[in-house]
Amino acid sequence: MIRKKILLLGDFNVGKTSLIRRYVDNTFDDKYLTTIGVKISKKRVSFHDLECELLIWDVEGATAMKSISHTYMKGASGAIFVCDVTRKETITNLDEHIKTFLTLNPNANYVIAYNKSDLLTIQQREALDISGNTFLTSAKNATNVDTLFITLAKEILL
Amino acid sequence: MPKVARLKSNISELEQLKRLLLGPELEQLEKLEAALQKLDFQSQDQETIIARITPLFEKILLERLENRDSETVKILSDHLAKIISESSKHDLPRLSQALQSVIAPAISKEIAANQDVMVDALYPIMGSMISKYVSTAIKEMIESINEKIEDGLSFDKFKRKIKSKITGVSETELLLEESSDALISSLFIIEKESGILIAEAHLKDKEISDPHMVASMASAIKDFINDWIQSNTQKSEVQILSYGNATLYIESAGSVYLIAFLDAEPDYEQRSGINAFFASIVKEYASFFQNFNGDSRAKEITALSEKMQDYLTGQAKMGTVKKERNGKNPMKLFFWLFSLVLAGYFAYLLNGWYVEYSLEKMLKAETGQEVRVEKEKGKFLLTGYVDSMNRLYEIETLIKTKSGMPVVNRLFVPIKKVEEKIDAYSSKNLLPVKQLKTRVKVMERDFNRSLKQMHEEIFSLKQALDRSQKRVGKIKSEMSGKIERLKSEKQQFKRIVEIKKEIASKLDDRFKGNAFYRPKELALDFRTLNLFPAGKMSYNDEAIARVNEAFATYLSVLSEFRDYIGQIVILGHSDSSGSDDENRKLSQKRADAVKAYLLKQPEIEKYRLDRYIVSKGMGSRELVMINGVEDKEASRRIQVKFNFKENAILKQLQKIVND
Repeated sequence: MIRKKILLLGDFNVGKTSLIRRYVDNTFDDKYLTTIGVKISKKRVSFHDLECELLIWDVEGATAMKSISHTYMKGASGAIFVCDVTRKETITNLDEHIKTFLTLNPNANYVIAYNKSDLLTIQQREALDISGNTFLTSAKNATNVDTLFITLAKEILL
Repeated sequence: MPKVARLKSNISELEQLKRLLLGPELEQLEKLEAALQKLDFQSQDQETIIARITPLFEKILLERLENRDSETVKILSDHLAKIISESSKHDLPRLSQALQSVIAPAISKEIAANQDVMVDALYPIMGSMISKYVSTAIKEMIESINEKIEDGLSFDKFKRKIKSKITGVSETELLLEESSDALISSLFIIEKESGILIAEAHLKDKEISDPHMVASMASAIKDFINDWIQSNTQKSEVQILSYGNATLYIESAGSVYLIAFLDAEPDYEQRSGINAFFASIVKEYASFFQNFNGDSRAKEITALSEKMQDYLTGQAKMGTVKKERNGKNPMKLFFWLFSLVLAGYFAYLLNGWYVEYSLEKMLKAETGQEVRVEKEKGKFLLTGYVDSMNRLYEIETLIKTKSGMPVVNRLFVPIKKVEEKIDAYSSKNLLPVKQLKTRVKVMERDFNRSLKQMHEEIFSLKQALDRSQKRVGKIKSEMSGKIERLKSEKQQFKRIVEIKKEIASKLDDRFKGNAFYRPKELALDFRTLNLFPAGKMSYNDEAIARVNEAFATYLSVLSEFRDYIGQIVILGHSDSSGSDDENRKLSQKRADAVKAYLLKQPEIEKYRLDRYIVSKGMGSRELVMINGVEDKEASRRIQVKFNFKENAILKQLQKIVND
């Protein structure tokens, strides 16, 4: 069994925890998140005869008053950067999050989740230029949630 | 149980109660009953009537209690106490069960509703009780500690005293530490940055469910605290996390850290032990930790987990042993020690006895002799009697071989046995005296004959030896004479060689650049002077003057060595014309003529070497050849050479050396 640490990073209230809750059943109580700023979940994924357990660190979202702890970011093999498609500043801030993460983990992989896509109209969704390692996701209706995690796992292991 | 039956069983009490409580009413009831009996209930039995009346009675009683009728309450109180007392005598468990179901919820309810009041109410009882237990426990602990401190000559005591002196920690505190070693139930090795669990080990029945999640969460908590510590400008890292009885001891090194799950906070000694173990792990697996990629199938993890498991099991056993040791009574220990020593001594005796017995048995089997074998001061003492001397030594050898130990042989062969042996031998081997005498005579005669022959041989050998000695003496004196002479000749030879070298050196010096001088031969050769016309002995005047000049120089050198010079030879030569005899005569005449001339010259006279100078005709034996053709003018020449007095000796020495 191969185990990898991955992070969920993004601004406050972009839906990171909801994405995990949708993807993972087994989680620690949410009170850890409010206490120390991180909630850890795990999920087992299999593909191409490879079995892997993702230890998912849901790091408390950054706010103007509080930045994300760098210590939590260290040692991660990958990250999911999450933004809220309805809040432009959360999309703008992605670059900063990615830069910080890659500084600490130069060899890590990542994917991007444009979350809360259920709030977009069909026209808005089609207007968005989404490709490569970026996904339109919705924790509410489970759009692309599995794909998001599986893609990252493949990026890390293959 | 039906109500009627219950009432029946307690009929007397009930009757009493009725009369007390319902005196007037009962009177009325009795009247009524009498009336009823007269009227409607004549046909009814008494029990039926009671059953009909009882509900009325209960209703009345209930009304009175609800109205808190003081009289009724008083009566009930008195009789309830009495009833409970009686009931407890007959069936206490049932009464307890009945009361428990009522009292326990009531107390709980009361405590919940009026906590402070209940605490105040119970404190005088519970508080003093708890205080008493705590005091007793502390007292017992202090007594135990004091006992240990005052404990006799135990090794632990001295160890503790020394440790106390060195560390400055009181003996009491050390004792408290001794009695409170924390138990490590689980060990985790976790990659520092990712928080991924690399290896784990647990005591039996102490497994942690979902260890990977726990490891990650522990990492997150550790990171959180470390972040906080470092933001407070401290450089240290969190080492202890405690919650209730659970304690996590954390130690970092390189790319990993270790978490030990304990049931209490570890003391300094225990931490040192954990750290030492962790350091050994990090040292051994440093490379693996550096390159760990999250793959739990790595073979190193199996070995590492086994090591951790061994450590855990070992420390758990150590803890048990320590507790057992602490709990042991010194007297018990002494008793066991004494028993052990005693058992060892008996085993030693038994072993010694067994060895002796085995050897005796072996000797009996192999030699048929009954001998006593005893072990004494590292040796085997053999006592008893044996049949013969051979047996005596055979037994000694057997014991030495079998035991490998030294033997003190005190075995005896009885005189009687010896005599028997002698008799047996005599009867078998002795000859009659007459026969013996004859044999002795023959031997004596043979001996004398041999002796005479030996004398003769010795005499002849002695004569031969004398002769040989004389011969050796003669040879020795001859040899010593020869050796002396040889030594003398050797000295002379050495001197001649030296003189020859000296003469050569001087001649070389004097005749440097002179065409007449021949260094190799130490001679003068006048071949270039055309000294003689063909077939004539008369010399050229001008040329002879030059011969004289060179000869004088030659003599000036030789005169310094006159004691060693034998002859100075003037050699005359002819060319190849004519016969040998004519040439020999002609060459002799030429040599004579030159000698006569030279002897008259004043330069020669002054050296007074006349008697040394001789002349000799060489004929045409030594012609001068140039490119294979004779130079006849050159052949007609004069040479001058010299030889030493010891020339003969020189030849003889050379012969000896060559031989």
